[in-house]
Amino acid sequence: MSQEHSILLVEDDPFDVRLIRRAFRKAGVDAPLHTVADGEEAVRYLQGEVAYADRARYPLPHLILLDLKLPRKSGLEVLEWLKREESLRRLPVVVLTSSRENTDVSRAYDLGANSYLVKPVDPASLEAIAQTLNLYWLRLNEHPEVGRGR
Amino acid sequence: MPLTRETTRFRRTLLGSVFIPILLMAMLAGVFLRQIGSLLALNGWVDHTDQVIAEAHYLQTLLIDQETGLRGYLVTGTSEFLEPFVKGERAFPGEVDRIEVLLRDNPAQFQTLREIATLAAAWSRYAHHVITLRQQGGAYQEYRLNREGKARMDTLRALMAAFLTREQELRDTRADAASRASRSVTETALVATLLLGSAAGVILRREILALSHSFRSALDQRQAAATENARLFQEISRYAEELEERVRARTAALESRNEELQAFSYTVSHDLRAPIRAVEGFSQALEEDYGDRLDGEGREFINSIRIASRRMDRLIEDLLAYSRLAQTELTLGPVSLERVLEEAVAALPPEQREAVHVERPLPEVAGHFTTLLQIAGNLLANAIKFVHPGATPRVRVWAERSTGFIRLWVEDNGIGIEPAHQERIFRVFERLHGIETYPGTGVGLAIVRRAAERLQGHAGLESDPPHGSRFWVDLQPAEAVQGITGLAREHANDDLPAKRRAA
Repeated sequence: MSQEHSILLVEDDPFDVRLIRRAFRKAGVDAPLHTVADGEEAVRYLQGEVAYADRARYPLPHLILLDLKLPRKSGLEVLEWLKREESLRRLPVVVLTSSRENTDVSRAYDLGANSYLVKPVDPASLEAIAQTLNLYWLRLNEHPEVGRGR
Repeated sequence: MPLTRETTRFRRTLLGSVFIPILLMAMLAGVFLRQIGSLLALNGWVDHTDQVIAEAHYLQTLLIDQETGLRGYLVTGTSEFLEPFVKGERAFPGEVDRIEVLLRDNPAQFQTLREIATLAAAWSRYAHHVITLRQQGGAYQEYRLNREGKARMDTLRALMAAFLTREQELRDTRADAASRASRSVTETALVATLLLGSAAGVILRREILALSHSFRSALDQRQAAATENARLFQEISRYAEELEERVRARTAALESRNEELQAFSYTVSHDLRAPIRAVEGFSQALEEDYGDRLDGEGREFINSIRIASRRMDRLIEDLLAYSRLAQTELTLGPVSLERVLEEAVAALPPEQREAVHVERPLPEVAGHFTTLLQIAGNLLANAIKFVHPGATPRVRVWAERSTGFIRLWVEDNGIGIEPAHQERIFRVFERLHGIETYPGTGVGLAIVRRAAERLQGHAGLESDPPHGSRFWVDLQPAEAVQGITGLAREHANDDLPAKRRAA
């Protein structure tokens, strides 16, 4: 698959990152999976700041998988920031978190999340999620124009 | 009440200050009237005597006229001269009668008058005798000088004069008495008025002083009471403020504690579950990716890791559900128990769904769908789980309407619960069986009871071990929604103090 179908995974737990990577691999998803470990890092990546200026290595993703409980800047704060950025606000965001709290779910949707998924305990379920995400958001979904604003 | 006593005293004082002077004045007026009456009577007697005197003078004149007429006739023989005699003689008896009437009060004078009248009558008889003699031209010469007549008349006159003198003396005495009485009335009036005036003045002064004193003391009492009231009011206001301040502080402390608790449960749900998920995930990955390189025991170890981590995950899930029940604000609305049961049954593993028999129709209740689902889910899972080894679970669900609430029954054919344990099992972490026999966290029934209580209801059971149990949940009927929503809101506000009491 080409670079234009990349995913940005915002996740601070290395075990989760590893399990998610495994699930995507097992599901046969070949889209590149870029990861950042906290909210500020996510903002820097999306803005293309110094470390991420090279868009060939760090392309703007077609999908963001966003955990909510993150160091430095929470997932909800990242989401709020993103939806205010004219050039980035159309980027699809799928919240992938362990919280089932109603307040988190409602707040995420209020801030413009496109979907909200709870991390399953079972690796097989995670694999199914990886497969579905790939199919729906990367293949079937029509990608919006991102990066130039308006 | 001291004020009532003051009022009575005030009335009494008012009566005294008004009625006593009026009474005194009336008494004085009575005395005056009596005195004036006797004075008038005295004056009347003086007038009476004057009248007697005047009449007596007239009587005397009549006598003189008669004598003069007689003398003139005797000298001249002319009948013209007899005229005063005739007139006098005619008028005399009437005049005597008039004076007699006036003299009824005075027997002495009356007697004198009678003597005068007798003498006058005798003189009259003598006069007629002489007149007859003169007319017949007889021996009138010896009567010409009228010596006998003169003598008689002199006696008469003397008597008359005495009468008059006595009458005048009487008049003077009476006039004196009248003038003395008049003087005494004036003096008495003066003295009495002065005395009464001073007495009334003294009384009035005393009464008014008493009145003003009682007024002042009543006023003082009032003022003291008002001051005391103001002081009490201030004190109460201060207490109220203190209390409010304490409630505010307590509420703030509880709110922050509640927030801490929420943050805690959030942390538990995220951070505590993450490593479990990792254990579960990696052990599964290990089995999938490297299972072929492990022997039977190695794979058994992996299985144990997975079972333990699932148990841990389940426990955390239950604990979260339980603590969420205490924290979440519930808005109650009409909920169909049939829909709740449908969903609860659907959530069971497919092989267990057959065991549940729901007796329709089930009524609507005032509740909260998710919370009711928690209740039904836990009760069904419980009913299916605790069966005798090897037995097929059979669960019957029905509802009955009682006064004021709806009771949902979940009956099983399980092992039952000894009466001694029937209350314990509703507490968190209470388990009656080893985890090997009947797996579980010990939170399920605690969730059921707390959920029922949050829905203004209650949960309990009847059991006949070893022939199964009948769990029941009392819920408010859907009609109660209006009232309960308000109550729930109030309850939500009361939640913090309620928890404080519980703690």
